[in-house]
Amino acid sequence: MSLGIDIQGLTVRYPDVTAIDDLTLRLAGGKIYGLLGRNGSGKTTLLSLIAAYRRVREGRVIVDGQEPFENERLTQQICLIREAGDVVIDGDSVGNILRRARLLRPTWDDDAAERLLELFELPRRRGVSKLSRGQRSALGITVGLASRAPLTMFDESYLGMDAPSRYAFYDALLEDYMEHPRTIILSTHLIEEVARLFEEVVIIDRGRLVAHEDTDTLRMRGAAVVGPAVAVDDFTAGMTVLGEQRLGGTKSVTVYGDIGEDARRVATDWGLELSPVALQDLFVHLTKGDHA
Amino acid sequence: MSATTYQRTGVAVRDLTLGFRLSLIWFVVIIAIAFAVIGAIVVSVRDPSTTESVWENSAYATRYFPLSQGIMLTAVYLPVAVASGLTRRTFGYAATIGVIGISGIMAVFEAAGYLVEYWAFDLTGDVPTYATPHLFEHGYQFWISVPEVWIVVAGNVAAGWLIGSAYYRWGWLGPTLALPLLIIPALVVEALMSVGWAGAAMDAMGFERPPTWLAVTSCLAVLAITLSGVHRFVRTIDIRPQKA
Repeated sequence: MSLGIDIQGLTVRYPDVTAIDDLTLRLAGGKIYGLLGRNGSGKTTLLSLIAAYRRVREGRVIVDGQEPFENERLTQQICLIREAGDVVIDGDSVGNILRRARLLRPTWDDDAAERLLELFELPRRRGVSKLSRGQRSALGITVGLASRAPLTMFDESYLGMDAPSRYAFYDALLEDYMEHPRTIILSTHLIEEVARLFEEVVIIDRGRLVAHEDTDTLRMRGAAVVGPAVAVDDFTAGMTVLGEQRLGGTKSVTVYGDIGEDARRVATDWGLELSPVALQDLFVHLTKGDHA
Repeated sequence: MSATTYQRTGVAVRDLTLGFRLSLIWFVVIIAIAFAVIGAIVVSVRDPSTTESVWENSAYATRYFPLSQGIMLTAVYLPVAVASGLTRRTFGYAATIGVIGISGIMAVFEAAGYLVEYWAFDLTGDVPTYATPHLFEHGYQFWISVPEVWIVVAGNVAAGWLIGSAYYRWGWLGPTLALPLLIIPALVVEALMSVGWAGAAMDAMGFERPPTWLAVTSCLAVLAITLSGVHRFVRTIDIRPQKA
């Protein structure tokens, strides 16, 4: 089971800033979404509204056809793991936190939780206050994955985790998703690390929707052009260049914009190689501007 | 209340019970041992003609420890409850049951203490006397001491829940300024019941305690209004981002 999300004209104003600005977005159920945005772009606020952590005051958030705020049927099917780990009480032990999740999450999977504890080497009897930052994050991820909630969201949940643990998380998430398809939203700054998981990408900036496309289509919005430096320079003349690298006589230039069939044939004739642009480069390009 | 809310409230109460269990057990054990020791010392050094109750002084601990638990309810448990898929409404029902449950445990504990103390004095042919007013006359009257303590402690825990929720919702400045207002439910219950230190204070000020039936029903009404008010209030609270 998976839940779709329909957001209409959503606006959230704080005293000094508009965190979400008339956002309209529809996410079909049963996919892994990447939610990308710069610091303060409204990602956490958006996820908090979907998870009913906050009340919607302007616009609408609909999950599976209903508003989630104070909706008993829906809230038990939505799991948001934020970076600081709301599911974690300082005085508790790892075992107690899992016990609570088992009680409160109707789709909880004990075996999955055990496997993840082992994977992240989390001692069941240790107090949360004695866990490292990375271990606390791993505990949040364990709860998030083992909850098997039809709508599961991770908001920078990997904070403090080392690279092997993060990759273990990505693998575990993908494996679990294959076995138990559901809607998963990953909000992250480590774009290239996680990009392989995304089926669709949502980019927001200053509370507004910048892009929402499937990952491959989005990456085809630009290209990395690699080949002899002179040919690359000639080919990319007049295009929006996102970045370039040079090694001897070979040059790689990342450009933004559609490259039509004719241009692709020319590139092949000139001995140039075209490959999809890196998601991170696109993200940087799409969200650059005057950020305070 | 829908069947789902009823079922989820039951689960939440179970979770709250497990969460509070350890601290309550430790509190009861520590207070029981402390007063047993204090009682033994007092008996060994006291003037044999004085029969003042020692256990009566435990009332401060059994009031203010649960008050602190009430203060922590929203700040500690609401974010976890919502993050675990509960609604605020369910949290509110569970917390209400928690308030009544914690004060009930304190009432039974306190009444048991009075009973044990009564028996201990009885062994030497004495009867304990109380320094402040109570609804009961003798320590063995647990059918009176239990509701007396239950109502007074519930008033304190409910006020604690209100205070803690206000601090969670508005931060420190507003609630600190409004503290005299937020503590009103506890003060009203104390004043209406006129037992313990509040009873002594009311006596000193020349106020007479209202008839017991009126005091008890008024206090239950105040409690019901406070608990349903806090319940409505917590349903509007946004979960704050925690500091990483």
